[in-house]
Amino acid sequence: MALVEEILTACRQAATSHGVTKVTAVHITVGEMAACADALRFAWVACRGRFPPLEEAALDIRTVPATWVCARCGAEYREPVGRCQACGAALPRLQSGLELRVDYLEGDDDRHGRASAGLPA
Amino acid sequence: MKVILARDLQAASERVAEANRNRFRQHGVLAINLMGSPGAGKTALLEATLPRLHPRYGCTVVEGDIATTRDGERIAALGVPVVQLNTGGACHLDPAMVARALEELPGGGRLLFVENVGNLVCPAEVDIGTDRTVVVFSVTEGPDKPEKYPLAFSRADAVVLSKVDLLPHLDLRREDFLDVLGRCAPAAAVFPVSARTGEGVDAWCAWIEAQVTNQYSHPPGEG
Repeated sequence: MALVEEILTACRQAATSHGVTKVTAVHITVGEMAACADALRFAWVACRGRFPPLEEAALDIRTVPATWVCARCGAEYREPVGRCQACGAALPRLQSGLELRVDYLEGDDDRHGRASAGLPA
Repeated sequence: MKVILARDLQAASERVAEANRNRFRQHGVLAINLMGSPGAGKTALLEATLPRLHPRYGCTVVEGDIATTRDGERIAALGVPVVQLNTGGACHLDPAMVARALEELPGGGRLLFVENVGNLVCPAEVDIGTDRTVVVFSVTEGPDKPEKYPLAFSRADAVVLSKVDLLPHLDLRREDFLDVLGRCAPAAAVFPVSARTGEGVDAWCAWIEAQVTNQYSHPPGEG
């Protein structure tokens, strides 16, 4: 899947430039509307071996719920609505749920061994 | 050790959509994103449309499905170049998938139909770089759907009201659908169509031809 390719590329670049020889986990943020987490996990397991340091890396997905927000009164909805039920304004817009971000990875580097703490999140 | 990436793939997705759009421009292609619920009749509409437009414009099709190649096979049977995309669970096509499919299609065509995954929520939110958005909405879905899935309808350039040959069997009139579409898709051209009987297909095809003309007032290759 194209999205997993992008994640792999980002991880490969980061791991290479930081001398990470074995990635243990990749942490990503995925909006509910951006991609299906199950499909991502499936594709991840199928594709991660293409870059050997990622072979055993777990994919940790933080899911962001989709919310629609009325531009006029700020009312929030968990599903698309045609009109704001609070103030009647047309078409509350999607505010969150399209996020797609590779946040960070954890792993062992060739100099220091495994140490996942120490850097800001 | 921990390596912070903070890499935004959503922005990357928007760039890929823009690249798709530029590619359509360069090749003089009009790309239509076809959305609709599962079973709305998207593939049947293409089966009625392609035999009329393919000889004149050269059509290509990208078929998006979660699994199976059935829709792609139906299009291939018409002799139209088609790429089947399986999203492997994802509920909509993303621009990178479309870009990948474009690599597989022959050049020279002027009309590209992208049949999105059957779903009215997610495909409406994700820009894949197409020039026009069309919602296929069948009379058997009932007239409440445009209000339930407002974004898809509000962003549509055209709505094809499909399966109108079934109206005599329903407790609903054509006007019930046209009324709700007038409210929820005020900017869209509405085409009542039956892919089975051929009703309305001429008007729908004429609209597509007008879109190609509007987009490219010159023949391909001159600019």
